[in-house]
Amino acid sequence: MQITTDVLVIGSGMAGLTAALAAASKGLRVVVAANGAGSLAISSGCIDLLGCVDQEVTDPWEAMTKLGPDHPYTILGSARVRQALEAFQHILDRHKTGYRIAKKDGKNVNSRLPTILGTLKPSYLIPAGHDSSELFSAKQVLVAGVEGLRDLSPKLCAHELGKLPEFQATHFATELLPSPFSQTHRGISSLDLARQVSHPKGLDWLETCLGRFARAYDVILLPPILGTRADDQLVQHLGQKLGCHVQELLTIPPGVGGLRLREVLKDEAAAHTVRFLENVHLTCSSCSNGHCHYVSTQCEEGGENQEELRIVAKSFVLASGGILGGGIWTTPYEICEVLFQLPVQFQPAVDQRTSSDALGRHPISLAGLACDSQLRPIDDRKTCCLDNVFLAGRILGGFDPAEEKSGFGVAIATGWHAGLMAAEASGMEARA
Amino acid sequence: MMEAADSVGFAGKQMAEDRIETDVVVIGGGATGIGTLRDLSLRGIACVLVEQGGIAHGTSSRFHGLLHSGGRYAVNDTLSAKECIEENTILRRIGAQCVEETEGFFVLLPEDDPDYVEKWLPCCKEAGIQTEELSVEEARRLEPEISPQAVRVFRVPDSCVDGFRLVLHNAMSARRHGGRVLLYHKVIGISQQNGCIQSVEVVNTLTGEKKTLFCRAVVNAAGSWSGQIAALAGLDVPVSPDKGSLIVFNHRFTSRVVNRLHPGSDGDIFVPHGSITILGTTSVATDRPDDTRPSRQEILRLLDIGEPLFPKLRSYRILRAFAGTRPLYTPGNAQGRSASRNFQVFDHARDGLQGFFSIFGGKLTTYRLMAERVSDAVAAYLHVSAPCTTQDQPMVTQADPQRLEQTRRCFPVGDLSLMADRVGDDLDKVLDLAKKRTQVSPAGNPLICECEMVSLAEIESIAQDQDSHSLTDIRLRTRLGMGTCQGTFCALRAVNTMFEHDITLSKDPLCELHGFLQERFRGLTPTLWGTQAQEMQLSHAIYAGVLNVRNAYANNN
Repeated sequence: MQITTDVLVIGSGMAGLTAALAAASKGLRVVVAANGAGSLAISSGCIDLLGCVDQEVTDPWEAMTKLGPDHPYTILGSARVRQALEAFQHILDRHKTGYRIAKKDGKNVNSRLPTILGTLKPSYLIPAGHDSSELFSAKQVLVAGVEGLRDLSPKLCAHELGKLPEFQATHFATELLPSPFSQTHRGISSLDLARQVSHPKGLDWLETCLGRFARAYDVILLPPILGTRADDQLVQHLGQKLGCHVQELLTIPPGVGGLRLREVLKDEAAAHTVRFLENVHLTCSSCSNGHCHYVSTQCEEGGENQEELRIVAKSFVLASGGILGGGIWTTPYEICEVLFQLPVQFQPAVDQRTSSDALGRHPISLAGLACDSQLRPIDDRKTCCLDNVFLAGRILGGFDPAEEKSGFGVAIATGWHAGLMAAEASGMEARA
Repeated sequence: MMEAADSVGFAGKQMAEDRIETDVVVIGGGATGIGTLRDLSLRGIACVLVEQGGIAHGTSSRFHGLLHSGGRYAVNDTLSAKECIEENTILRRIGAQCVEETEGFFVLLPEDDPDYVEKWLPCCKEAGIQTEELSVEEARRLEPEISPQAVRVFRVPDSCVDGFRLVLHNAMSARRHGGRVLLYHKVIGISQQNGCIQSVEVVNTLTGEKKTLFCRAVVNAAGSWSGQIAALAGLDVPVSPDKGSLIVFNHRFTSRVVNRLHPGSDGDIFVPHGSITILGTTSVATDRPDDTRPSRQEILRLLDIGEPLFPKLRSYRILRAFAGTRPLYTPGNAQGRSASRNFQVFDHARDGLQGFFSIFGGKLTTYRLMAERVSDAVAAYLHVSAPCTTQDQPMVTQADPQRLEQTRRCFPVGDLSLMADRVGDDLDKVLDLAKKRTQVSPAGNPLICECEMVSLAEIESIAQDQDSHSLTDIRLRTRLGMGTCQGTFCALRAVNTMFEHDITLSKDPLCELHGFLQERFRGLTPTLWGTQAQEMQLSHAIYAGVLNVRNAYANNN
C-alpha cells in the first residue's frame, strides 16, 4: 500500500503531535505515523519549560540564556521558543483547558508542584488541577489517597512536604478514601480512578468521600483522579462544592494528565483533518542526494505476509523519540538512529554512558542527533544530511529533560518549528 | 527499627552485652558458616556466628543458583562429582523449600568434541549420576529455545537452589537449636593465649559498638575473606578470590538447567529461577574478595559463549549483571578453572594455634558436607562425641496445606506455597499479621510486588526482624524488586505502603528508596544498551524527572 502526503510526521508523542498541528495550520495534508502513544501516555500533562540549570530556576526564560550552544533552545533562540509556546497555549485556550502559567512581578515563571513523594518539582505551563498558587499560603492541607492505590501514601507525602521550609506554617492532615471499586486484589491505578470519576457515579463517590472535609481545609491534595478530560470543570466544581482548592499531585505512570492532553491535541488534529496511522513500525527509508523520498515498513522482521506500507511525502518530521521512545537505539558498541541511520552526534563513549549516582546526570541521557538552525540533521562537519527531514523532540541530543525539567518544552518548541519548516519545504517542493 | 518479636531476630536481646561466652565462634555468614553453625548446634555445642554484612552477604548469594548434579565435574574431578550428587540428593530432601527440582540438560553442539561424551558417560556412572539420552527432537519439544544445531542431549538430576534462602533456613534451624547469629559484626581481632584460641573481638558495623566473644574454638568460614581472617590470627591460608560474573535475563526461556557438554568453561550454564534465567559464569583472578563489579567485556563474552546454546539470546532483555568471588583453594598458586573445586579443612594446630580451624574451597552444592567435616574436627577437639545429623532433619517444617488454605483469604494471591517456602519459620508470624491486617480492612494486606507475589504482611514480618535494616534486606528475603520492573514500581509501592502502615526501617523512606534504586542501578550499568537502556531511561525519568528525588535530597541534606 502506498500513501502520498505533503508532510509525514513520524511519531505521535508531544513533539510529533505539535509538529502535525503546526504543519496542518499551514493548510497542508499531514499524515502522522506512529508505533505507540509516546511520552504523553506516561506524563503528568504538565509542560516543563526549563526548571533546572545546575540548580532550580524560577524564570525559565532568563535561565535559557545560560544554556550551552548545543542545546535545542539555544539553536532555536528564545524568540522562536516563545513563539512556539504561545502558539501551543493558544490551542489549549481554544479547547478551554484552563492551562496556566504562574506570574511573578509581571513575568511568567515556573510553578513548584507537589509530588506523591512529598517533593516539589518545577514546571511551567500547567493544567488547572495542578495550580499550586493556593498551596503555599494554605494553613490547613489535606493529603487524600485512595485505598488500593499503592502509588500514594498520604502519610509519606505529608511527612515529606512537612519537612520543607515552604511549609513550616502549614498543617497537613491525611486521609485514605475508601475505594470506589468492590473488593479486588488487583492494584488500582490513578487512571482507573480518573475513569471512574469521569462518570456521574464515580463523581458521586468522590464528592461523598470529600464532602465531610468541606470547608475544613484550604487545599486538598489528591492523586490525578479528577476525570479524563483536560478541562478545569471538575476542579472548579469540586472547589466550589468543598469550599477549598482541590489540587492533583504529580505521580508515576500511567500518565493521566498526559492522556488528557493527548485527547485535546488529537481533537485539534482531527479538526485539521490530520490523518493518523497507528501501530506502524517504519523500518526503511529511501533517500538520495540528501533528500528523502519515502519511508516504509518493508523490512519488518518476519513480515512476509504483511503488505508493505510505503509513505511518500514531500517533507518529513522525525519525532520518533529518544532511547526510551525507540527513535534511538543503543548497542554495546554505539548509539544509532533507527530509521534513516543518521549520524548520532551526541554519543558518549561506551564505558562512560553513566555516572555513579542512579539519580544523577548520565552522559547517555544527552544522546541524540545534532541539527542546524532549521532543525535538519547534520553530520560532524555540520553539513545537512537530509534537506527535507526535520527533527523534533527527544531524537535531538544535547539536552537532559529529566535533569533540566525541559522535556515537553523542547518537544513543543522543536515540534512546532519542525512542523512549520516541513510545511515550508513541502510548499517549496510543490512549487518546484 | 521496630521492637523485635520473640519469634524472630537472630541476634536476640541477650546479645546486647559486650562480653559473650560460648564454645565456638564461627566466622562467616555464608552457606558454609551458617551450615557449620547448624551442624554444631544440632550436636549440642554452644556457638555464635559473626558475619560482617547481612545473611549470605558474600558469595552464597552471588552465583548462578545451580544445585549441581555433579555432571560438570564428572570427568576431571570424580570425587567432587560424587560429593555433588550425594549432597544434591540430601538437599532436595532437607531443603525442599529452597530447591526447585527442574532437572538439567547437557547439550553437545557441533563445535564440541563428540569424543568427550564417551569419556563423560562412564564417569557419570562411576560417580552415581543418572544420565538419560533424549532425542534432540524430544529435548527441543521440552525446551524449544535450545539450538536446533544440538547434536546430543542428556538429562541429569541438576536442580536450582535459592542460595540466600538456603542460608536463611539453615540459620532458622540453627537458631531453634540454640545457635546465635550476629549480623553486621566484623571481626577485628583474634586473641590467643599459650597457643590456644581465647577470644574473638568484633565491631558492630552499624553502631560501632565492640564485643568480645570468649570461646574455646574458632571456625574460619569466611570464604573469599578467609585469608584476611587467618591473617588476624597471624596465619596464612592458600585461598585466592576468583571473580565470576553472571547475567540475569528477564525471561524464563528455559525451564531446565542447560549445560554445554564439554570440559567446564565460562558462560556455559543456564539456570532458571522464578520468572528469570541466569547465565554464568566467568572466572577472573582478583585480589579483592569484595570485587563484585562485572565489566562490560565480561558480559559481552558471556553472551558470545552462551549464544550457540540459545541462538536468540541477544534478543532477550537483560535485567542486570552481577558478580561474586569464589574462594579457590590455591596451594602452589593454581589459578582459575585449573584450581580444584575441592574443599579443605585446616586444623591450625599444626601452625601452632590450637582450636583454630579454617574451611574453604568447595562449592555451594557441597556446603553441608563441608560443614560436617569441619564440625567433626571441632567436635573431636572439644571431646564431643555427638555425630552429625544435618543430613536427616529438614531445615524448616513444611507448611500444612490445610492451614494455608484457611488463611488464603487474607492474602492477595491464590497460592500461598511460594510465600510459605520463602518465610520458613516465620510463617506463623506472617499468617497472624495477614489476619490482623485483613480484620482491620478487607484490603489490608495488599500485593506489593507482582513478580514475586509479595504481600504487605510478609514485608511487615521481615521489617520487624531486628536484622532487617533496609529495603535491600527485605528484597533479599522476599525477592521484591528482582523481577521485570527491578524496583521501579514495587520499591515505591513498598516504601509507600510501609510508611502508610507505620512500618519503619533504619533510614527515612526517601533515603531507603534512593538506596534501593542505587543498588539496582549498579547491576544495570555493565549492560547498558538495548532494552536495558530504555528501562534505565524510564526509571530516571520517573525518579530524577517527575518525582525530582535527587533535588529534594540536595535541598534537604
